[in-house]
Amino acid sequence: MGRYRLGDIIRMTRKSLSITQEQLSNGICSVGTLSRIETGRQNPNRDIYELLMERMGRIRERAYSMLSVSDFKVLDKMRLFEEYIKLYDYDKAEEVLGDIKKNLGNSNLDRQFMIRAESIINYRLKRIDVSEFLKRLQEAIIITIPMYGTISLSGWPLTYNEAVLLLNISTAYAEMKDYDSAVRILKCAYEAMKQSYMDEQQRVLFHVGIANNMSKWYGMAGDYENAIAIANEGIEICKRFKLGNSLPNLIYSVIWCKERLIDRGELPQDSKRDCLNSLLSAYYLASAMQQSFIAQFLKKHINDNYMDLTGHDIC
Amino acid sequence: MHRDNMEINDIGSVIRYFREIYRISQSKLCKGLCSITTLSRIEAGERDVDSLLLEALLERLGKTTNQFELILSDSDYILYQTREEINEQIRAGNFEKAEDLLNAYMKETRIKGNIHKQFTAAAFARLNQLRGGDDELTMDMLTKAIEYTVPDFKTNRIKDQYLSHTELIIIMEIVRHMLDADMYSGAAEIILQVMDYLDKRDLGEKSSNMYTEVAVTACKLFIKENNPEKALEICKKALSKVSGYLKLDNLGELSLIKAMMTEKIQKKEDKWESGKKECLKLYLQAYHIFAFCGDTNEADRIRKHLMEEYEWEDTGWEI
Repeated sequence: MGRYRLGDIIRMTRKSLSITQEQLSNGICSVGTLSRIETGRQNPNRDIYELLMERMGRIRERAYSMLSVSDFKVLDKMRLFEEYIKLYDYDKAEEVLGDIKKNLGNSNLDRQFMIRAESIINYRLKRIDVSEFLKRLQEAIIITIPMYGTISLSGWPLTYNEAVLLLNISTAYAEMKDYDSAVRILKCAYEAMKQSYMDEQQRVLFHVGIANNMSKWYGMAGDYENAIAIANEGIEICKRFKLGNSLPNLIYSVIWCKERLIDRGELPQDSKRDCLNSLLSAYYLASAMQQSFIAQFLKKHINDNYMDLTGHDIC
Repeated sequence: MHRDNMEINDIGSVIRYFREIYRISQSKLCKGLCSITTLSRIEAGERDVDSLLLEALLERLGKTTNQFELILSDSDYILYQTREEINEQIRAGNFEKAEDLLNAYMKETRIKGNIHKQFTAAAFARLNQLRGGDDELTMDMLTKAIEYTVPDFKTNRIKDQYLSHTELIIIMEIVRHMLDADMYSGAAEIILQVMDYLDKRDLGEKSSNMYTEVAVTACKLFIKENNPEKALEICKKALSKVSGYLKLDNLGELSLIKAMMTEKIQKKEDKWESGKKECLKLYLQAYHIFAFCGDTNEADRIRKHLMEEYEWEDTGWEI
């Protein structure tokens, strides 16, 4: 989401596919016309725009609409839905989804949203298994990127919904314990995000979200070094943009890995002290942000594992 | 997805849709921004519309423009980029460059609406302030900027107005200048109206940081007026609204105010000894936020206070 010209959209998409103006315009319009469109000196007529986007494997409607037909009527509800998902409250999320469904149309973007939303709920409420979950997410992404799976998405300009879908797909792989695929998809989402049609704030939030998940998957796969590095990268972004939301999780991710390295004797025993400092910082940050779930978790973790250093329960 | 759908897809229909479900009349929504005729044409789907005007209308409806994918016309796009460039040059401290761009922008938008005049007036005000210019002049320029779209700001303030994010920011700048000039009662009058306005409105994410910023300023005002109860009340209300993407620096300020006011009230009511643990936890929350954000001055001040008043030992961690 953001502001741009049609010409920018065409140029960004074309460059991401590494095709020339000649290849793209062949049979649709002259190279000169395409060049003028891309530089903003001429507005494309609708037919040409659609043909160009279709040739590049893009569903065409999105650029003309700010959102899809009915999306804006349910915009606030969609946000509420995402909030409940973040809070792990899938029953409430399903309720909201029922409301959304009544107002949602049948455009490609509407369907893409719906398939993603329903599969998340069904999976989290254990109505479908993880491989079915993955299958449906892939169905959803193919709606707007028909060439998904056959082309590299690195450098492909993603929409907000597509980026979220990739994150979901990565999670599905991780829950199937296929951490390599999970990391690979996140890497590619990260590359794509660099030139997606998103505004700065959203891009930064995605970046932090990706770092958070990627660190977890590396950690689960036993690659603690990479897990720590990527989580620290996320922490640095939080610091630069003063974002707190994922911060306690990111800090915990680093410490979780360090604790394992200490157990293995790869880090000195006295680094426990630094770990405790970081955990306390994470705990107070989480409490200040009223993230009670993670705050309680961190408190328990500290009291269970660091009593030898703290002496008694923390407040 | 063909032409028919495209029509209802238009941004104008979004504006009409939200205006109608929030039951806002056309005249109220467009007051100071454009004529009712213009708004009607936009709602009817006319394509050739100034995007800055669209943004202002959407923002007055409580929508942030980044929720939408706006396709700009070329002339719009160039103005949009110039505005970004001006803001960037001001941020970077290249004041002369910014001034040149602003003059060019003013020429370019001479025949355009108030909203462009507001942009230039506010930018000139910030420029004047950053160059260490006369404070009164800055305030005059800001007032002029807001009066372009809120014509009776001086007399009626913001009563019965719908405000965009941009307008709220200018109003808050005016309030801060009033505080610096010790004009407490005038500042309080405006800020309470702003808070009231924000309370009533359904707000987007962008504005939840706005709420915090307003609350922090309001708290500072009431602290100066020696009213810790009111400051704490505002602070708690702002914290209860915290959700989504609140900036850490704002959260740090609110947490610190909460700690300080709680302590102050407890001391006044002789309840501090029993409430010490609560205060300590509040201070530590603020401390860790400032420390993480690299604000060492503020973090050190809290640490010193905790060592002096709470027999807190700085062992590197708190237990």
